[in-house]
Parts: sequence; C-alpha cells; structure tokens
Amino acid sequence: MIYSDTLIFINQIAVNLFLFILSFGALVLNRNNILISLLAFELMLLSANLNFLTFSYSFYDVYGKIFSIFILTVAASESAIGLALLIVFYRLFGTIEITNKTTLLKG
Amino acid sequence: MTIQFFEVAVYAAFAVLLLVFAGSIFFQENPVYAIFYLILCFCCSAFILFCQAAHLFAIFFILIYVGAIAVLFLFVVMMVNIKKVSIPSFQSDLQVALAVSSFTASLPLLLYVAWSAYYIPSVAPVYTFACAQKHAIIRTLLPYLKENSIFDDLPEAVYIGQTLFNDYGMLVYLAGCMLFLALVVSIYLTIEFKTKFGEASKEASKQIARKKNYN
Repeated sequence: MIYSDTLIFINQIAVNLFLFILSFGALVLNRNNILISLLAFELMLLSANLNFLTFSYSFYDVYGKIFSIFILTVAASESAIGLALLIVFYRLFGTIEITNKTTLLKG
Repeated sequence: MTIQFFEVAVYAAFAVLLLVFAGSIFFQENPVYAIFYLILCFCCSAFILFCQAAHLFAIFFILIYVGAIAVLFLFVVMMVNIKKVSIPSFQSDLQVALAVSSFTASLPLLLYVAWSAYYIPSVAPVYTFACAQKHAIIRTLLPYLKENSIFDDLPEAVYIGQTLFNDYGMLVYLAGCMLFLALVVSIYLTIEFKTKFGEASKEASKQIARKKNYN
C-alpha cells in the first residue's frame, strides 16, 4: 500500500486544482449578480492557500506557511473592499444584477 | 484495515465534501444558503489541514475565513436585503463549451500530479525547517539533515513566529498597513452624510432633482 501521507498529498493537490477550476468556471459563467462573483473569488483564494499549505507541510518547509498568512490578509482586505463596492452599486442601481445590459453610465 | 487506511478514508471523505459544497454554492436561490455552504467549505478545508498536521493554520482558517470574511458577507446580505439569487443556466453554446472545457482541462494536469508522486529526483531535497514532529524518522534524522538551524524541536507556532517577526517583520507591518487601508476605503465608499431635517442639500443636482435615487 502506498504510504498514507503520499496519498493525501496527491489527492489534496487534485482537490485544490479542481476547486480552483470550479470556482473559476463559476466566476466566468456568472450572469446573475456580483455576490456570486465575490464568493467564487474567495473560493479561488482558498484553493491557492490550501495548495501553498499542502506543499509546505509535505516538504517540511516554513516559507509556504508564512506566505499563507499574507494570503489570508489579502483575502480579508479584498472581500471588505469588494462588499463595499457592492453596497455602492446597490445604492446607485437599486439592484445587484449584472447582465449584458448593465452599464455604469446609466443613472 | 490499518489505521493509515482510515486516516486516508476520513481525509478523502472531507475532500469530496469540500468539492460538493463548493459546487452547491452556485446553485442556491437563497443567498444566505450560498454563504452557509461557503462556511462549510471553510470548515472542511480546516479539517483537511488538521489531517496534514497543520493545527495552527486550521484554527487560523476558522478564525479569519469563517469568523471575519463569512460574517462580513452575511452582514452585507442583510444590509442590502438580497432576497433571491437566480440559479445559473446555460444561455448560449459558448457557455456550454466553456463549462465543459474547464472541467476537462483538469485531466492532464491531474495526470501530471499523479506522475510527480513517483518521480525520483536526482538531487535529495533539503529539509530546512521541521514543521511538526509527525514522524519518528524525521525526528531522529533531523540533526543530520539540517544545515544552520538552532531551533529544531519547538512547537510550530513558535517556529513561525521566530521566522515571521524576525526575518519578515517589515512584511507584517506592510500587511497591517494594507488592512488599515482596506478599512478606510470601505468606510469611505459606503458612508453617507445625511442632511438635517429642513436643511436643503448643498449639491446643485440634488436641489433640482425630481427623485432622490435614480435607477
């Protein structure tokens, strides 16, 4: 039997990759509203973060974990500003739908 | 049925759950349900980190992702009063092609990942720091593998603190500045200065406008 650490390592990389592709697909194919885009972006950051930590813990390295702290910081800041922009958008338009007809020049 | 089998089985269950919850975020009508599935994703990733002996970062994930970011999402959903989020549907062939190709693009990359697990490099890797004393063989061999390190048997949080605040102290300071900037920008974007009752607004466009908000 393959050593369990190796199995977890391989499968975790695959999980991170699939999670990233899934959320990227949702981001690209989103036609509904801005909140879905923000959620997809958070999931992409989460998958990259998990990837960093997986490699760092398998190779007994510390630099991956330190960078992961900074990725957490960036994710928190970005979601704060993104949600503030969502509120501004809602105040201007009254709704948070984005379709092909929505432009920022209206109103 | 060894303990290693159960270890991998439990990890695999939570990895599958992570992907299932991530997929079900985007097919919810209720926005609060979508954020609930996001929180479940964060909790599953924390458990996966536990499986890899990353106890500190599992707690970090729950504190920061669930405790701050998901709560922020929930507050905004409550404030903006989002009632319904429409479920995605394919409206053109291009969208179907994009969705299918994005799933099939992962296959050759998965094969590369599976191949690299059995790859034997010609140069031995250098173990610079020990993160967690998970394996006895690493504990015994570590003095012969390390180069110039004094700390070899400290807990993980101490190790990260020693490196982060000594070698990368300025980066921590800059990260703090970035968080402060995010705070100021969020407040600046969303603050509204309301006029007192009976006092006309000083903006010319507001004085001659017919409606208060334009859609």
